[in-house]
Amino acid sequence: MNCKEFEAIALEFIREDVRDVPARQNLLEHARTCAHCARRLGAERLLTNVEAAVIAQDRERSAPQRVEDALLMAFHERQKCKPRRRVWMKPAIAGAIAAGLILAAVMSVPRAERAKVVTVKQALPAAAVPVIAPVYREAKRRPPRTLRAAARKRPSAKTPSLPREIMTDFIPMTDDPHPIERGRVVRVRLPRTALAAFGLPVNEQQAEQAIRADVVLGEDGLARAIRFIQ
Amino acid sequence: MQALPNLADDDLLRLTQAGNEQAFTTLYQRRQGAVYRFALQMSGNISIAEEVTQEVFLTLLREGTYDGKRGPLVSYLYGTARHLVWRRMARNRLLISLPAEDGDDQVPPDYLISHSEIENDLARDQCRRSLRRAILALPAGYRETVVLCDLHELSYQDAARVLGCAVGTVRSRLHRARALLSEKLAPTKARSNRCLV
Repeated sequence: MNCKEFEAIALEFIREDVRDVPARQNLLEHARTCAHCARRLGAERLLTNVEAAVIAQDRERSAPQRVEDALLMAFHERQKCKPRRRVWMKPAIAGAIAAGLILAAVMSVPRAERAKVVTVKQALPAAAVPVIAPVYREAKRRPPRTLRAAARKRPSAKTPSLPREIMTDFIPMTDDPHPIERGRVVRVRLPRTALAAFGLPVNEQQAEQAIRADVVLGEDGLARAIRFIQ
Repeated sequence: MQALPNLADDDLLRLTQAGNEQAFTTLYQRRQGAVYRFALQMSGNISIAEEVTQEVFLTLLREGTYDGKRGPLVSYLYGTARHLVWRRMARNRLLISLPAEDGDDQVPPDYLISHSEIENDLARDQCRRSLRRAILALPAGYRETVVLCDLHELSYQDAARVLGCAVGTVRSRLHRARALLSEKLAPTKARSNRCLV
């Protein structure tokens, strides 16, 4: 054993963590031949012995009785408060959950409707051909907060995009010359034969199938325009 | 049912939180000494040690503060005591100390020596006093390592859990701390050959 190896295990030797008997013998052998390491071992032993004396002296030392008394008082106070707290705890939690659910429902409904609200700025020509260009209010997308989030959101070239809906223009359903200031778009399913009512061709073979359409409802609830979706 | 003194710490804590006073007393009696001594050896101040001991067990009474998955209860108690001692030491550093008066809690470094005790071996007494003084003079990081590993005889793993650091860090801190302590004890040794306790 050299001095470096001695240094590496001297502390463990003193703490009696070295269980390996040959290693212990090697360490003692080295200390016999090396004055520096012998001094080091002596110093460690001295320190350990003084520490043992301190431990022995402190063994019976403990917190005074007043600490225990104060803690027991706190313990009893706690026990007194506990049942009272439990009485209102459950209804309070149930109430909080119910309130949360109601709030979530209230918040989600207008948001869903808000997305469907349209403002038709273009006036319908009195007897003209039916084209309404509805202006949609698109929800603003917040920029991604981190680069990683941006990378995640960026559509990959490999992943195919979802099929987009093909739809007709809005066809007016009324001769009212006044423009619609505000309205609501409602998605409905109609029999395919409804296309014929608007002068659109109907495939006889698919006549039984339903077709989706967006109906523009005015503020009075009347249908003002419709568009068909494929 | 098993007698309370035979129950493990975790079981006693469960009973305590269910309102069993005897379980709390048993748990307190079992662990208060270690917490008190740790706080005292770290701060050298009796009132800090008392306050810390009280606060550690008050924290334990609050449900949900101890998570058994993160280590044994004793490590949690040491860890809490350590935080409280650090907080108090930091606060005391901001205060201006006044000269000690009679009955003051601030005790001299040889605080733990019971003067009523008649010690035959004065050299032994002097060595113990020197060691206490030397430990209190160590930087706090080294001090807590020596107190936990040497005076409280915790394993490196347990000490690492309390201190929230790696086992290697505990080992190197202890190595360095012991070297500093040996240096400080050396003059004592030179003065008295009877220092080998």
